Amino acid sequence: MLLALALLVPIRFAQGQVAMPDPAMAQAEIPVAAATPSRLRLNGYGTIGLAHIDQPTGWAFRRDISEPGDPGRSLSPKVDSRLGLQLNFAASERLELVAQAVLRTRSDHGDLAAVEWAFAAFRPTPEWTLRVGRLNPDAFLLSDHRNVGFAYPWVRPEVGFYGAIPLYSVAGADLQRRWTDGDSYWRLKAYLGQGQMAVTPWNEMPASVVKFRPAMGISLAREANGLTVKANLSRFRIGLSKVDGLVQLDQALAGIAALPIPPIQAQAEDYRGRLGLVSGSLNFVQLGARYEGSDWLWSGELAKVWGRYPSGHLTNGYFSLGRRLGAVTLFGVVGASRAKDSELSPPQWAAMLTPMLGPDLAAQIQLAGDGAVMAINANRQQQRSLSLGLRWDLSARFAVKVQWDRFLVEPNGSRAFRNAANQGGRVDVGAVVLDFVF
Amino acid sequence: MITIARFLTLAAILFGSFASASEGAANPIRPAIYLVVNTGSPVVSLTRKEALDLFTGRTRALQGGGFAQLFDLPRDSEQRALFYRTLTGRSMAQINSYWSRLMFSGQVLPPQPLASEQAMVDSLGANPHAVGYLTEQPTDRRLRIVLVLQAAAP
Repeated sequence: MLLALALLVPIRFAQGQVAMPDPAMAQAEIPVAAATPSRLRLNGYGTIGLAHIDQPTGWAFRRDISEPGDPGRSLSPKVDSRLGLQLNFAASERLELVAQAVLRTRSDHGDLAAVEWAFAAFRPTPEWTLRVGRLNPDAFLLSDHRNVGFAYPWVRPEVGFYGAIPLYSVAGADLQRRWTDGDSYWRLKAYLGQGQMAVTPWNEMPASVVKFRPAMGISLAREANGLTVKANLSRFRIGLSKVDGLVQLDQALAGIAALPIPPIQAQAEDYRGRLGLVSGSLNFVQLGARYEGSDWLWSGELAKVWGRYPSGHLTNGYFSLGRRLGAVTLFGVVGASRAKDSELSPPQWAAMLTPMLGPDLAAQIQLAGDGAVMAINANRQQQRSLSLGLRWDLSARFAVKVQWDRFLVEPNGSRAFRNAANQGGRVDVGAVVLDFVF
Repeated sequence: MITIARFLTLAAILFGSFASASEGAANPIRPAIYLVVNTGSPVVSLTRKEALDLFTGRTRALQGGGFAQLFDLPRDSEQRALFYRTLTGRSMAQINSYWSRLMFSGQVLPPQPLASEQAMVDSLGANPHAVGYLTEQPTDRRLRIVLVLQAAAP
């Protein structure tokens, strides 16, 4: 159905309906309106995919932590399939209105389409652009077009890197300046806004909303002779007050921290800090490069995440190398994620508290401590990945891709995988997709 | 004397033929692509780099100030493929992949595709801020050629 839509929709809008003047009039003065193209343009993209997933029982592989994956199924069309429609309206030479709706699986919207962006872009000069509305934050190389499979060689952006903090949109503004300097093309962009994402770490849990308020960042990119280099610095204040169960856990830890037992007090406060419920924030620094030559193409990114949310601290990166052979591109990708802090062991509170509080209350407090440690460890991401595949451009607007991935996930490092329950394991994914634009 | 004259004539003919053949082999006749603006445009000429910057979305600044309005030939046409292959050395799939990155990230739209070369002539003729291209030398008096590119080999 998606393919049928892709084939049917284009033509009228994408060709830009131009009023054809009468040949006789061509000799005389032609009114401007007669040859003025449409100010409204509708374009779209999509991916029809099928993934075979071999993973530990109960796990759900997903592209990023805002998606639910397809629990319980080894063969899934949901993981990679998506459809996007974008409407651009040129209100004037300097003002453009843009909206993009995307149909994909989401933890909060199920399989429904949602408007991911809707903004007004004001260009006082060709160099400056101010956008206001619901925007795509421009952080990593692929952040603002990660759904557009036709735009990159792989089936999906590297999961360990792009799956960690998938902030698709913020409500706010960004300001961009772009300029050329000799053979170099520069782009400087800053954004400020607030956003949110829904996550479902466990199958039995309802979607919980994580808020980013505010989310801000600045990036600088330079492109010359096929090589793009980009650096970004972003900062998110993390709001976890809507995450199911976390508030109760934090309250329990606050009560435990009030006990007059210094070692337990210190541990309980440490857990509260690591969970990030109180003034949690994350900073991201990223450096990425992409080279696209006529035969070879490579790209790589490295990011470091730190801030007042220690369980989210992370260093991750990937490198991809590709070789074009006519219409076919062969590629390989390696990726790795490392949590900064070591995994925690459960506290030994019951032994200390039983003589004072009795076995029942001590066991309850121990349970809270165990839960805190489990939640902290569940937020760690520690994995390696290898991907091999090919992209075959069937035509100028259709490409078939085949890709095989292997993920090696360490125990207490499985944040990227839903329902992984702090286990480690090996996940193999084989996928075939058809990407298209229209 | 007559023999010498005949010899020189024959030599000149042979040399001329050889020279012509050599030139033809070195520069086989290829179709040209004409980058074209309205005669009312402030743009008098374009360099290849300026054309590349405009038609790859790097800039929308028009020489002499203001915004350039860029026009394309039909999206799946051979003329469009030839133009981008000539200008960038890339295939149409690569160009569409590149533009999908810019377009669907909300940065910049690709040039507005028009229905035909005649539509291109008419749109350029009516718009002093427009820049477009044609695969045949325009004869319309409202248009000015600002750059001629020798088309890339197929």
